[in-house]
Amino acid sequence: MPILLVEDNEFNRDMLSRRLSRRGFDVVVATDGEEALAVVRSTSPDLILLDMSLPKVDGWEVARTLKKDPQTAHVPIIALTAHAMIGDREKALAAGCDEYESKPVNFERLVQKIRRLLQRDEGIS
Amino acid sequence: MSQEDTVQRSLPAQNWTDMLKRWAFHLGSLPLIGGVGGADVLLLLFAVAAWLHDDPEFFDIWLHMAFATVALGAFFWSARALLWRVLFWITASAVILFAKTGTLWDHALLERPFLLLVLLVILLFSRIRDHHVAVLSERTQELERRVSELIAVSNQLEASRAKLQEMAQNRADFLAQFSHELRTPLSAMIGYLEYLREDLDLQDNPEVVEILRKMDETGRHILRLVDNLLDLARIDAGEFDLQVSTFDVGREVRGIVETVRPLVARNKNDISLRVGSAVGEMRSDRTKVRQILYNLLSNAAKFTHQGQILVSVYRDSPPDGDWLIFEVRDTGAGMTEEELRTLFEPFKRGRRSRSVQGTGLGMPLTKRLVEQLGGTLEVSSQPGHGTTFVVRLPRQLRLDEETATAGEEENSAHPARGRQ
Repeated sequence: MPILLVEDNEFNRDMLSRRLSRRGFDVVVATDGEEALAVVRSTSPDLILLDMSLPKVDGWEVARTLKKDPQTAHVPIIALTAHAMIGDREKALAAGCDEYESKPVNFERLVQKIRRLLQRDEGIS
Repeated sequence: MSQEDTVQRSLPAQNWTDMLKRWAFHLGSLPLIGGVGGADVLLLLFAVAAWLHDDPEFFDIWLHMAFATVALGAFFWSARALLWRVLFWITASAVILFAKTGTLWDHALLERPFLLLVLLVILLFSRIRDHHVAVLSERTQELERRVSELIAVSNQLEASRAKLQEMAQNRADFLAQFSHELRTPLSAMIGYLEYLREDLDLQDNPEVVEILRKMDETGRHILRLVDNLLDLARIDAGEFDLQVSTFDVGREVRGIVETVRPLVARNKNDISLRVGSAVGEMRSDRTKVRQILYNLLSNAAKFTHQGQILVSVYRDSPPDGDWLIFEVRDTGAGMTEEELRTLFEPFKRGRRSRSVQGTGLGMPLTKRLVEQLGGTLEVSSQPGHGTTFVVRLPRQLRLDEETATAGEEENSAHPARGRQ
């Protein structure tokens, strides 16, 4: 079961998916909010890494839409924002995200968060 | 019949001399109503009336009326206008008197020096008043001119202030956008570098490992520069985003000391921390307090070699305030007066600090952050004798309404705003 990485910047998308793949994660990607929603429905990922500043439909909107839908509400979302601000964390959590990381990501911490959320998910189901 | 009755009642039996005297009195008050033109006509009428009457008693009446007119006029006329009328009156009186009696000294009016004295005094006062009126009107004009100049200047200032504010806003917006554009590829680059550094195939080649580490360090340096620049621009543009909370000061400071420990060890320095027993908690923007202390500590670590860094935190609560003092003292290179003067100006790093890696924005940003939190930052230093930074922050940060609202907005209403 894959992890969905939503990121509009080509190099950041490529870099993160390479690094995650090397850690043994199966990564699918989406480049904007619309595509993200479509991919979630077609591949039902285990977890979503969601960039917040996306073209078309932004990350906040994607998070809200997914968390409203009973089909996708259980999928954990980690928000990725461009700059660390205390308010961003609350905003991300308010939009329904389960976790929050600021870019550039501390990769080890991100991997830990992914593992914890995946384990929590397994524990529930 | 009835009309005659009415006339009889309203004008009871009286001789025409009384009537004339009464009318003359009414006419005498005309200059009050009619102004200069009316008074001139009146004076002429008095002269004609005096000429037409042969009875010396009437001279007295008419000429007194003329005098009263002139005296009343003195309140309204300029000295020059008054003088002309006085001259006219004296000349007319003299001509009439001489024509009627053959002498100027027969008549009581001109024998009264007192009357002439009064006239002179009136003239004098009128002259003085004119002078003051002239000075006053000159000053009034001057004042009006200055006021209109001031209004013009104030309008110009207001216009340039608005323009400057707009420019600062544009600059902050531009920098925010620019910073985002820079951070995105930088994030990718740093990520790729980490990816390479984790690559096991490369671990056998120490030179490559070393180069990758240096590239990573350089990338993070650029990132810090971009972040500091953005923070500075935002503060200079008056954008507040204070997030106030209550936190334990000792724990926070100990955390920062631990964070900078590797940096301190790099130059073989020792760091020690003293926290006063009365320090306790503070209510302020935690991230900004951390940023201030981190900047001061990393600055001390960078400019000190094989020396001491002493951090002390204590509370100062005089009757009129409650302050926390953060003191960072090092035994490092110190600064010259010139360096001290430009320390808080962006991109003006000391000559000797060129070799030390830094953004040149750390100290200006730190000072602005301290000011944003309602505090002061003082520095004392001597070349070769180390540097001491003293930060004074209010223990309870009070937000004025504007700042508080801005903080809340930042928090909830505009998710798209802020540093992106």
